[in-house]
Amino acid sequence: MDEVTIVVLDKKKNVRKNLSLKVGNEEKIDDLLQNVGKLTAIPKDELEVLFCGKMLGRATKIRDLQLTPATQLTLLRPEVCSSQKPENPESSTTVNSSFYVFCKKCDSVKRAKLRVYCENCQGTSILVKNEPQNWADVLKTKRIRVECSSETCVQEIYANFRFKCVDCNEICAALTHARGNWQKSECCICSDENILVIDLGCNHLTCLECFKLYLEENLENFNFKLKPPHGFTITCPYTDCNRVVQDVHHFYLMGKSKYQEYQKRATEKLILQSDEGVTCPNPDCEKCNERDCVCHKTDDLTRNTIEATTRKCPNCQCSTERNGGCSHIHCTNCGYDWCFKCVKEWTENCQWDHWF
Amino acid sequence: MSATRRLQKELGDLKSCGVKAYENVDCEESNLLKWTVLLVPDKEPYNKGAFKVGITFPVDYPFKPPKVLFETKIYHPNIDEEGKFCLPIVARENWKPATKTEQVMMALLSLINEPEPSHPIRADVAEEYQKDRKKFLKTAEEFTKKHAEKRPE
Repeated sequence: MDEVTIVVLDKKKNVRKNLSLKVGNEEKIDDLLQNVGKLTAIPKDELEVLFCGKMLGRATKIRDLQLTPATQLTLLRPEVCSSQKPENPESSTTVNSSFYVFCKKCDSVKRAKLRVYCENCQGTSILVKNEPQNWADVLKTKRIRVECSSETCVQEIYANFRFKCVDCNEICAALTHARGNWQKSECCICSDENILVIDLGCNHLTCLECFKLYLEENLENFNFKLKPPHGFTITCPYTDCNRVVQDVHHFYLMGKSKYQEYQKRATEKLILQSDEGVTCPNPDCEKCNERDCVCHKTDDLTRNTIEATTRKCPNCQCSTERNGGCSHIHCTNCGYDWCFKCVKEWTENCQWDHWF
Repeated sequence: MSATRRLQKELGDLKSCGVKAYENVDCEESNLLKWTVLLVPDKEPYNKGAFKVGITFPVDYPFKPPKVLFETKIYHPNIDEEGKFCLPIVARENWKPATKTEQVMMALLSLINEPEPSHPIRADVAEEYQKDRKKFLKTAEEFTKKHAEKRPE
């Protein structure tokens, strides 16, 4: 038995009541309405239950709602008693879905429940006008309209969706590329069949453990490439597949501390890619904001050596040393193909004339 | 996952794949990380012999690429005197952990069969390949006969 907070909005009498009720996991919504009816003297057939933006079916099991003490159920008694056809007492609603998140509190991948709030009053006494159809509908704002039971919310109102960890209730970032391996495919790296996989939308499945190792390997040499609008990201581990991780939150699969390292190195790389960016040789120095700090002077010998031994990539200005091979340079910083002889884009003429 | 498990699977798959061009795979008895593969090209001027290739897998394979080196001398615009070559599929910056050794061998065979004079590692050989194909074929064939391994029956 768990205690649940219930708000009864009686629009017929224009009163609002807050109740706290013990509800058994095996009970159904219909049982709950009967109990509320006894306490409030409202016939159970006149009440509707609003949860997660939906009107719940009477046969819905309490267990399936994944309630916590923080959850609030809204019971609505409409102004005009519905003359609609009485609802089939057998109908049940599913609010349960297989979403995966990275929970910072648990520091691991967890299953999540999707919750919906009124963007105006943050209340949960709402009814969505249409169901979300895709990730964008729940991740972006102003996509799904709601009808909010609060008096203050009269105009056009939209829904705010949140993912919450099923274990600790923390609000988490959704891992849109993580999903169940329902077709029972092999991991493209280790060939094992795992229940949870990463799919970047190309159907090349990688198990979580291999994906984590793949990320860690890429972090070691910072092999993440800048792909706007996604930021510094990596491609699918499958040969020749160019699909990328579209949301950097997936890099949390490496754990919190490695994610922070990723963020730091991505920021540094972004700064170095701009013309005037320099990293501080002494990051703990407190004079960095002052002009006389070592960061603001360039060591002449170092600069002379770099200038004498390197040429700058014509695309990203990255100083490049050629230590052998042909003149065709593939910039590992920005991916540009250029000719070391012309210091311009690699062309067919270079192919014929500038081998060495 | 361990490198050993994946390599065992790959070794089994390669040995039973029935592709004559790279069927001949051996690994050191005590070390699954060192393989040799006998490549059997089917195009002139390399179809007069077979070429031994050494593969060294890192302990964190397949998250790092294998190192592949020709052990048999070959006269080819894209393969140098030390047996080194440029193959994007095994280059560190391009490496994908889902890539199997069989794909690497296929890429290597197609590089042998179809030289890429636009990315030469031996400029002199590439120039000869472009400007005097007859002479190139003759030199490469003689080289193959002299240095290459016997083709398996």
